[in-house]
Amino acid sequence: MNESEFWRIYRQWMADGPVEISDRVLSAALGEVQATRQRRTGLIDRLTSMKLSTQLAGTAVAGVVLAVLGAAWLGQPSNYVGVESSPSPSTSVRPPEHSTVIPNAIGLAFSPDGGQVYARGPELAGTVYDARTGEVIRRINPASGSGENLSAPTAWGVEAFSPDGQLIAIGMTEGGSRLYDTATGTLVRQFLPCCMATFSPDGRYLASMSDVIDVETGEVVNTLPLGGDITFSPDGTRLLLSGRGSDTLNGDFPAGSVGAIVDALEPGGETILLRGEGNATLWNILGSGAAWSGDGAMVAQPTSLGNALVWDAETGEVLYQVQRVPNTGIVMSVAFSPDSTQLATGMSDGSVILWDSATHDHIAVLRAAPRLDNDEFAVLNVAFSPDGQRLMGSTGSAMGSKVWDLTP
Amino acid sequence: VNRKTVEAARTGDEEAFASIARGIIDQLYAVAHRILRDVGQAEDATQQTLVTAWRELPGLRDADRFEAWIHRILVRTCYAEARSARRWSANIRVLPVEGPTVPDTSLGVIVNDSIDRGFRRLPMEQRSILVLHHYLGWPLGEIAETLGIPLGTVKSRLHYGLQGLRAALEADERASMPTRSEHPA
Repeated sequence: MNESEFWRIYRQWMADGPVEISDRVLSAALGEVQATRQRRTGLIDRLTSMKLSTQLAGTAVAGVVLAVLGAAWLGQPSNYVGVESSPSPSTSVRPPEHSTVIPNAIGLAFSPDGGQVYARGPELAGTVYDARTGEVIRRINPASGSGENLSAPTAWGVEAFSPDGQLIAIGMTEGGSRLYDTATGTLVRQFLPCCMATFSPDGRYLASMSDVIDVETGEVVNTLPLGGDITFSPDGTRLLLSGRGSDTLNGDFPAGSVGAIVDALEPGGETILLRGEGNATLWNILGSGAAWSGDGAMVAQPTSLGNALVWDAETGEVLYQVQRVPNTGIVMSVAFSPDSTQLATGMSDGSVILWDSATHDHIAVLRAAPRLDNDEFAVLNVAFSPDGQRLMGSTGSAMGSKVWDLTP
Repeated sequence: VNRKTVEAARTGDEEAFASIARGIIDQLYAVAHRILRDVGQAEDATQQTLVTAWRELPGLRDADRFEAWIHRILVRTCYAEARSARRWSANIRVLPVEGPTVPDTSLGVIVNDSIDRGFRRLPMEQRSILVLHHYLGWPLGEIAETLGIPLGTVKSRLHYGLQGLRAALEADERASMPTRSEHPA
């Protein structure tokens, strides 16, 4: 067979074949899309809640985070509850029957002192409520007051209070990120970069999906080399960028890497790639994606292989792999204790496993919810209280959350 | 795909996404089928691609890149589908053919079968390049950008893929040539 004959036959062969798919497949896909809509909304809110958890003081953390999770899962109308009392050891915490209802809440953010909550509904406008009484304090409408160079805002919604509680940042797909004065509801500043609103621990900088911005001046101080979810290191000098599925999402992460650490404020600084093990990609479906250790020396992420990896934050080397414990499902969420000596992993089967960071052994397997075959009660978020004495595992489901007392 | 519709879908508008899905699903399926060469797998890959796209859409930076982006998802999903199918196929037992078979004397069918067999022997990474380049007509640079791999890799996969197909055809040609024992002097 000569060359031209080969090409003729090959092209014909390539062109032949089905070009239409059964309507059944489209219906199934759209059905699944509809079913995942609430789960995605919940994910966005959970990410917000995890960022907040490190800013909240004392025992309020459990209740406040729970409130966000419960609201996210229950959907519309969302329930919100501010828990003020200290949870007793090994207490199951569920949204109570009598709670303040915030209707149609999709995005939620709590102020650092837990006194206020910003809630965004399906519409772009959001409302600041008194967290304990549910009283409306003020409304914020990003649709008004757009700058000349910004297109009409479109809410996608990552909302966050600044660490001092004086500002609310709202990230949008169009129209940039915006900062509002919490006390007056007025627009303080707006930035072009979109989609994320993550404050540095000292509140001086705001990270978007692609840039780090000086909150005071509005200047872009660094452009990030890679996309992804962003987590500031505890000292605010570095950023952990999580690929959230390097295969499918941003396409920025080189093959085999599941994240990166970059200088937050130094343009052109070194990029430390976090390599996976084998074919691992970052677990990109559910769960709180990534965590810094309290001392900033390590980072941890769940991977698509069902385990979690812990990297040296200076070198990017894998320090250890959190192995799967028999009969406990796969890792959905991770959190370091504030002193970095322990790591907690939330599992798909409703358990929480506590690990010793030094020996890499598991210390305890705690059950937050009954094990179900469909992983309905997967632990999607784990969080230590700021004093490290309590650990919370939240299923984000009707099973609520469980708090364990870790004091000896 | 209309940019505004993508933007709307990105903000959670299900109707907008459904509109996009209706418009693109046949092409996704056609590509998936050509890569996987299996109706069931191609349907599963197409469905999964749409679900993944919906889930990951908020992270799409540039709405104008939607088509490339979703094809990237499709190709990766095809890889996963093929890996999953391999696990199952390990349990399939090949049955011996009973009695003589009558060959199809149509040259076109024979050649197509040869190409098909040769194509199925290619690694998935080579198959996807052949389909994106020769079925969708994408330039190699665009494929490299879409799949996130170097241009050199795309070229080498294309080269070895075509080489593999030619080798399969030539092998079948040799096998079909009459031997001396069939044509005694």
